[in-house]
Amino acid sequence: MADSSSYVRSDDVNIVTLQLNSADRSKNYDLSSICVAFDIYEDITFPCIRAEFTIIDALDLLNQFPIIGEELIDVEFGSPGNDLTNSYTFFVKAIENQIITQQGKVKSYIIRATSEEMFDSNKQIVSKKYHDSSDHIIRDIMNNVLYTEKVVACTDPPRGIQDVLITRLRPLQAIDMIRKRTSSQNYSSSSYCFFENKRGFNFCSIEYLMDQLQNNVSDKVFFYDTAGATDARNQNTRTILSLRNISQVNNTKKMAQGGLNNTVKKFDLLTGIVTAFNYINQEQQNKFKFASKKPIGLNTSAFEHKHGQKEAVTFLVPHSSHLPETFISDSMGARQAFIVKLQQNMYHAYVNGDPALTCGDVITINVPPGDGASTGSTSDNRLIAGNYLMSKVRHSILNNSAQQKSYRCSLELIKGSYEDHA
Amino acid sequence: MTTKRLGEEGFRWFIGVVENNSDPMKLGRCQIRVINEHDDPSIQTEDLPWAFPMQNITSAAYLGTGQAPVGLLNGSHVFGFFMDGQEKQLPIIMGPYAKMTDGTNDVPQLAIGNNIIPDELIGPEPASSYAAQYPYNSVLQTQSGHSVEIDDTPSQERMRVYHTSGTYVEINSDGRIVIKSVDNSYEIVAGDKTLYVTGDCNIQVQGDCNITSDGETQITTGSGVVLDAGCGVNIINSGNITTDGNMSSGSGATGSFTSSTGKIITVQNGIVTSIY
Repeated sequence: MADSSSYVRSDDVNIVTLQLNSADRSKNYDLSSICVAFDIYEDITFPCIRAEFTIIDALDLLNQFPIIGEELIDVEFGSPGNDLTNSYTFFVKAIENQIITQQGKVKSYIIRATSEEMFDSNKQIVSKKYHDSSDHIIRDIMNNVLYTEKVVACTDPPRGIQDVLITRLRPLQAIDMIRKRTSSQNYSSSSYCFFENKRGFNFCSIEYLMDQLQNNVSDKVFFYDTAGATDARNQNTRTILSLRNISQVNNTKKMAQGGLNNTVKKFDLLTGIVTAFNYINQEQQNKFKFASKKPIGLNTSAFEHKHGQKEAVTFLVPHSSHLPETFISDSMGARQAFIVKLQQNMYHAYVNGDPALTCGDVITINVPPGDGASTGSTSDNRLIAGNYLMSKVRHSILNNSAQQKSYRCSLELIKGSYEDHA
Repeated sequence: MTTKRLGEEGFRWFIGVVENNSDPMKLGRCQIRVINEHDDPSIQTEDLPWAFPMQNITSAAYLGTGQAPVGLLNGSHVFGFFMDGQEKQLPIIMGPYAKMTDGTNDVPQLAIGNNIIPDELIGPEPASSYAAQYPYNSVLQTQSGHSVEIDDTPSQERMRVYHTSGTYVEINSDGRIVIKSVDNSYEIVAGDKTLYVTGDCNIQVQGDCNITSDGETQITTGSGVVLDAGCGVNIINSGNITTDGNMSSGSGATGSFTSSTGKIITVQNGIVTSIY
């Protein structure tokens, strides 16, 4: 019988670098032996990647190094047998939850860290006049205010010109303001997000991510494996360890938030004219692109006909036509409905670690129907299976000991539609 | 827009200084440098957003009616708010406030008891009855020096409309009115006009005096007419001169004058003695 330790488990991790550095990098310390776990968080609703490092410190590194919140942590890790690794440099921003044992010999604490751009964003404000498109403004802030060396990908062309005087906003706050004001040339939801993933910074609509990146699923197809449920050694890299529904359907919320019918009124300060834009889901939802190649709506046409005839929410947006048109009033209703849809069909998946997983990408999950078939069903869950956008990815690395190393990923998955596998 | 529900997302107010009141659209908008928002010296005046002014409810601000929103000066301090809340791109001016600028009160001097209008009296012109006390004198003072006062100072109630040239109309607490023009004055009445004086009426002309009527000119007096001509009287008459009463002597006119028909009329003590 083979020694189990010789197996390469699907959740194994290869930590290449885990190093603490002083601010000027004149001193460093290998954290591999005292960092028992670390988590890296990516989120399409948050501009930067964050990390947490759990330290068991019997060397008084906290005082001897010392760790005072000005340090850098270099991290590089991957999966055994996979050349791909993820590499980050994090800036320490906080040290929290410090606990000292009764004997006073050991203390544990958590180092919270973030990417450099988040760190730098908190030390300054932006005061600048812009008369430009949203993507150009965001590039300017990233390149000329935050001086990022990472890729800033603006892949979803915006409509209109932003004539704004940004004042007293932190760079990432300014970007968030521009993001909310942006309307897309190609995607009716204009559901813009700005986030960092392993490829760099991204400014595009969620709809763009779903539409464009569904073609890049490649091997990121996850499935249930009944054999894996009985013996971890049988688990495949793509085995779904757990899948939990966060929200399947909430029709009252969907209706109340304007998912079926809403109106955006634009008040023009210069002319006093109020222009109304009515979003009717039954008529306009077909313009949306979702992660699925063949999406189907969350509701039947009969339901929408019955319950989506009247506006359930109205917005009043100020504008002045002496300023250039941003078109955001035109698309705000669709954006609202689209975001409501994204909140309707959300899942949380727990899978074996893979450095290739990054937020903003699309994956496929094959979910069995759970129909009680004793032999196990080979069909897919009719509505749930299919492509999902990873809106959040948490890389969790356990580094407790040689035997207790593991790398798993928690994924928040959104879809905005169903997908008919009947 | 960040603002989805105008008016429901908080009230973000500010204090600012007017830097440009020359609105190219002539709507009364000003470019305001909001304190602690637009302090960065790299922000030029032309970068500042145009702020619409709120107006008084007594102004219609509609169809060319109401009060023109043009009172603010470059340098005026104003309170305002951002209509778009956190985005801060659509400022609204609620109104200015007076302060002590370089030690000087921004409130019009006429309102605080300082009569800055000099008395330059001509002829029988009485001195101004200005005796305003703060806070009774409501004053509209303009840049060039025009002013309108509505003064409620107890026992000194008064109104004055003053032009920076010195022309003015003033009504004092007794109701006496003084109308003064420092240059030519025209009064045009398209219909009838009645001047009713319960006391004496004095007209003093330093130059020539001409009365022209296209119709009949009638002077009616209850106690006689005195025509006191220092250099003679010249009556140009194309008709007869008649009287219903007796021609009196002693105080009448004496001399000769020529009628429009070429006849020479000789008058002695108000009595016509010969016509040639």
